[in-house]
Amino acid sequence: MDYIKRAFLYLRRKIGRSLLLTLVITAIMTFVLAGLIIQNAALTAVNNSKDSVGTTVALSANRQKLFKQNQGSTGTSGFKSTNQAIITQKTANKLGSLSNVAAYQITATASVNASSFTAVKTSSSSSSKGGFSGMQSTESGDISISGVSTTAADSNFKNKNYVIIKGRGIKVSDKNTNNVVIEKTLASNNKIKVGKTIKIKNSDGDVKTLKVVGIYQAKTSSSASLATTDPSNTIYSSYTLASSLAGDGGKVSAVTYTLTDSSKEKAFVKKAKKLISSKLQLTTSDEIYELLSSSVKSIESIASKIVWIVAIAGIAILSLILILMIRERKHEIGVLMSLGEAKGKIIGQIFIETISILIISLFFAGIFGNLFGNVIGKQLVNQQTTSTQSLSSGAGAPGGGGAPGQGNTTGKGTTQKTGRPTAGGTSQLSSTLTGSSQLNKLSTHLTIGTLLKLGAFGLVIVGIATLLGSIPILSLKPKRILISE
Amino acid sequence: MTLAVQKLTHYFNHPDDYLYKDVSLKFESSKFYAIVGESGSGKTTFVSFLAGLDSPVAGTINFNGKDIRKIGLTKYRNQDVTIIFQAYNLMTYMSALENVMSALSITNSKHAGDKQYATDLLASVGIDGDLINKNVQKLSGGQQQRVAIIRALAVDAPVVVADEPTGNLDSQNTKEITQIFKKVAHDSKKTVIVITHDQKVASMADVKIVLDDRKFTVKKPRKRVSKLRKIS
Ligand SMILES: Nc1ncnc2c1ncn2[C@@H]1O[C@H](COP(=O)(O)OP(=O)(O)OP(=O)(O)O)[C@@H](O)[C@H]1O
Ligand SMILES: [Mg+2]
Repeated sequence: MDYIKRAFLYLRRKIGRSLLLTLVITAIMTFVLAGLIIQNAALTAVNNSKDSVGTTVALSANRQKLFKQNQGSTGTSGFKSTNQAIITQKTANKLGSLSNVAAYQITATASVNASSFTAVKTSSSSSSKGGFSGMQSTESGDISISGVSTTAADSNFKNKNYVIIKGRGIKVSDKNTNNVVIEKTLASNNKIKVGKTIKIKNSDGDVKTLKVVGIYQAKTSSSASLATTDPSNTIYSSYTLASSLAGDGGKVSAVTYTLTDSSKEKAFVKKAKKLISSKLQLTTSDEIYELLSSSVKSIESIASKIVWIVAIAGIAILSLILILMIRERKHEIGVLMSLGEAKGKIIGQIFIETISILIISLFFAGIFGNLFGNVIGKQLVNQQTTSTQSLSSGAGAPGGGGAPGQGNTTGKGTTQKTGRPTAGGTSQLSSTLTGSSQLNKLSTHLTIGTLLKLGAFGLVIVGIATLLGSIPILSLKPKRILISE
Repeated sequence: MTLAVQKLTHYFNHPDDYLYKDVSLKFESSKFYAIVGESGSGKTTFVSFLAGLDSPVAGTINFNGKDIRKIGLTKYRNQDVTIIFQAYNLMTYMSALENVMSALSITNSKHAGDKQYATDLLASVGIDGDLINKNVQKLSGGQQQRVAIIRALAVDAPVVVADEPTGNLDSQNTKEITQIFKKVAHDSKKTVIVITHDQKVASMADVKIVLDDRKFTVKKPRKRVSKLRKIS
């Protein structure tokens, strides 16, 4: 019976001790795994959001500058211009024709009222959200027009949060047309089909007829509940239409330039800056990415701290338990030594015992860690979302992000009363939420990479603890057991 | 086979408080030795040197003419000597058979893996039937000690060292076990060295060594003839 067989015999015969050790190691491994899952999810979310931002530069109103100017000039109407639509199409196109621009997405927004149909009323927009949305739907438009160059380049469609289910999306060729894409719920509530026309009324009371060319479905409810408008009441159109409905005279609120190469970003910004007025600003994807990932990164850092704290605490606890367990076995070890068993083999037996228990524990931890990881992950996401929300609306994050504000609250009457939930702030929020919801989705999956990492952590934790626990064996004098106590 | 103690000196704290000084003794095969002495005289310390569990301050233990430290104490314990303690001799999570089998495996005995050999040996001291597969903690003290002795005798080592192996046993068990020691010494040509307090055990030995006043004195056994003469 060699030391390997002895190890398994010991585990079976001292089943109580084996179970106790399994319990302790499972607990440690579960916490490590939970941390690893969250960390992995956060890292992936950061990378994904980087992908979704891409190499883009956003052109938008320089809100800080405009805001200061407006404080100087009296009258509330000045606020209107801080929100948007001061970029001329000419400027947008001029920047678009610079070298290294692969494509550009022009966005404009308008707030209008439904005329030939009724807007979707949801509980969130009518009651729970309180005065904010309530005011908006009564005093300003109940429908928001999101003007884009193409829906395909819109972040909501890119992220597959919104999907075209009937007809087609907005294309470049829809420029200067009344073609629109509406949401499924709005369409079914009002029995609107692709090819039909709908009527809306703008803030000046003019009625316009729009042609429905496609129907999309908004999938995420999480961003919808936090956004200020029900996504069902967002109608996508060409930016030309949105601009004219808003009475902006063809001016647009933001342009997102996608560059051919990320290394060209600086050169592009340098050239572009010469072409724009000081009322406009350029925000690079790096800056957007930074903002967007900072929240997810903090989750990652919390998670990695959890992993390390648990690992170190685990080593300490396990070492202590093993030292006590091995001390109890000193007679057995003395007998082995008196028989001339090498110390290496005695420690080898203990290693085989603990590693075997580790393998069983990893199996259990895989089950529990997945559960805990989800729970803790969701908790962190919720917290993070809340803090991000207050950050982006409170501090007024710079820049109209790459995404056109989908739940945009630019109703002219409302903004004056409710502060300034501007296009920039809102789109920032919605992109961050996209990243967070990716985190939500990801945390449910236990990847092989995470399991391997867990195994490595387990080996290190159990290995160090076993080594520390075995130190007394190295100094054990077999003579000691001759003297019976 | 010879086991020779040469110029062995040992003390723990101060050289003047030595346990013994320049002791030279020789142990031969096929003989059963008993070492007696007062408590605290240094018997356990002495056998720990014989068994390669510890090293003296000065002097050497030579196995077949070779210093056991040169052989390597672990290797010496593994191949040449086997030890029986007063208690805690057995692996508590194993059965009697498993204890013997694991000792055979650890020492790379020629009988390693031979269950029949181990079973037969255990049966020779009355550990048979259900007893061999029971956890050793469920055996009586005497039974456990018999398992320990069989384990020591089962391995190939030519030297058997025991420190008060019968200290916890009643007189009947003591007698039986001492007879096994003697039988093994004579039949298997092993060197059996037993420390004992028990005069009855000592009287059954081939050679009695008394540790008294920091000196070892070898008492040759009385000849059987002289015993007879005394009786007659
Ligand atoms: N590690 C040690 N450090 C200091 N002194 C020790 C140590 N081990 C033993 N001694 C002392 O050495 C002396 C001999 O001890 P030993 O155990 O060899 O005696 P013994 O003859 O076996 O006694 P007993 O018959 O009671 O078992 C004792 O006085 C003891 O206190
Ligand atoms: Mg003693």
